[in-house]
Amino acid sequence: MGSVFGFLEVVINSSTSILFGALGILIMQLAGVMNIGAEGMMLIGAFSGVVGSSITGNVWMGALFALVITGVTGLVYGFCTITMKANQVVVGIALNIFGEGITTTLYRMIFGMDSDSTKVDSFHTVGPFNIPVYIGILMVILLTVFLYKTKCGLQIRGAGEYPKAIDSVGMNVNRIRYLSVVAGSMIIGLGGAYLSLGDLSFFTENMVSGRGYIALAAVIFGRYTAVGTWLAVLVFGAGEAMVYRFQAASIGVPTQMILMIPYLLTVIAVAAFGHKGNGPAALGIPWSKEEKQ
Amino acid sequence: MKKKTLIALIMTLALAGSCIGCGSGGSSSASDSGDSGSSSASASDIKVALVLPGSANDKGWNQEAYDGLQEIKENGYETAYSENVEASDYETIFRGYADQGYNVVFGHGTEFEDAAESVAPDYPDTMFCITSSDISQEPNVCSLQNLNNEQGFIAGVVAALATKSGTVAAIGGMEIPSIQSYIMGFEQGVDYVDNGTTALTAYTGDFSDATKVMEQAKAFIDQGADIISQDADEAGLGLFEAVKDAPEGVYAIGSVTDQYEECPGRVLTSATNNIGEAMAVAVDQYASGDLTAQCYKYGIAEGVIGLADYHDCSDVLTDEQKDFINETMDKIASGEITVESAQQ
Repeated sequence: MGSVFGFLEVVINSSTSILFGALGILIMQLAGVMNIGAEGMMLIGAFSGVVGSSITGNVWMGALFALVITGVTGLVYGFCTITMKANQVVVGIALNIFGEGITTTLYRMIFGMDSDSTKVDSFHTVGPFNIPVYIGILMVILLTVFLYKTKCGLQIRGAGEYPKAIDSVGMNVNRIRYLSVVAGSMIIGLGGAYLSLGDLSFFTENMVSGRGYIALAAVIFGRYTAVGTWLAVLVFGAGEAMVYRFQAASIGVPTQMILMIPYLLTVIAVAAFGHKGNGPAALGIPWSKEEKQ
Repeated sequence: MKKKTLIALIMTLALAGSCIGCGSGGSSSASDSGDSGSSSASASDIKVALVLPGSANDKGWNQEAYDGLQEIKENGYETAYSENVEASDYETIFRGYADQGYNVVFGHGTEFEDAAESVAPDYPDTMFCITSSDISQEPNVCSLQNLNNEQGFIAGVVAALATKSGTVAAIGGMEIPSIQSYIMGFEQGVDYVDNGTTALTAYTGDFSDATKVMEQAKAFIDQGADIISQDADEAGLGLFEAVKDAPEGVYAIGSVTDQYEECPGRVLTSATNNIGEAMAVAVDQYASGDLTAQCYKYGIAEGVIGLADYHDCSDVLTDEQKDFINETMDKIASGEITVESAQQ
């Protein structure tokens, strides 16, 4: 039993940052704004979390700082995609490149080029997990209720599914989208901060290493529901955990095959369950009142 | 409407444009010659360039070369470097530096071999020097072979002597020849001690994801390993996070530089790899006209590979064991022990 719990612990630990990223993407995409830029947002979150924690010496202030900075990033993203109606894929990719560049540059400016890493205050564990792990699970439940049982949730989904209906009852589609983008970005940023301040206590360049893209895949695989997304993220986490176990057990399988497991699992899962495209109908289409949708 | 589209376009371009120069596309930054005044006139005329496959701030392989370049700069040479260079750009960047009249161009890693061999004939006045390689091509391609296998070997010897549980582990980053050599050396080192210790090894597949190294180290600890080493550059820092939370008696062995500060009290020692020193020596040789097209080997014998201080973990090993480690290093240096390598 001990080893089963140990395995589950690793699954949940290694999937939490992706879970935050995926939930943030979920909110944005349900409101109709595509987000390829989660990778960059997570990096910015990871970095600003470390900066905040380093300056104040308190990990919660670090997390707050990450929330504020990624919220501002989300605002800029919203301005480009909602107000300016720029191509959301292009802005997302630009954000990823920007995120890598700006965090690398600022990291070196602030922490220098020393060969020691800069350690900062990090999240404490309660029971088997860090506090953010519990927040993540709580968020899955809260988001499910919020998105499917409340008026606000309905409005968000409406903005992504059929913005004309939202507009016709006198609500502002773009305002709903702005709020969703900023809120979603903050949750994504928290995922980044968990990465640098959860199990670790430092920032490394490009430390997100593709988790933003995996989060995006998890949202699609999870069929745009919070619980589905969570399960998708856990599948990937299980793959990761298997990699560590198999390698530690030295069972004689070539490393390359073992390293393939998480991606193989994801591909199989998407092929098996993700056949129906059930994303929001207006995803990626900027809303404007004057134009015919 | 049109105006808005234009502004949107400009915004997007500005966002994309702001990252050129710091993105992963191979940023380069040239620095002014650090003329200290004390150096000879010839030194300041020699221009040295360094091309890195990864980030100059990776706390490992690339940073070691970057630090070496800083030393070269302090010695009075004019220096420049490019980092995060993609394989497709190796030749272009080599040609770029050679065209600008750089005298010595370092390609930091095995992966630069082909580019150096094909570019070199066009630039007879530039010396191309590849690290972690054994190639040479008359008249202007030389290589500095830092012996990672010896580095792994001493880490393995230390681990096998220090273990109480009889299981030790080593974690590599990407499975490339230099890292493979370290891992192979580690296994041979454990075998050499021959006290029934089991060596477990793993690769995480990249050099930037510290979480993976941390989780891998935790899996090894669960498996019973109590001494764990790493060779994964920046990602390797994850090892120290795992050891920090581990039960008593679990220690890390650092690599490349003395990594004691990463987790004081839990870092037994570090198997160091000071390739930057070898680079500085090579540049001085160039200045005096002694750098020729051959492979220069840098291992324990040359002082490039070594063992860092034990700091306050000194009592983990007995004095006899420390003597044994020193004797083993002497034997490697004298050639009495040969360590197999993934690179030929």
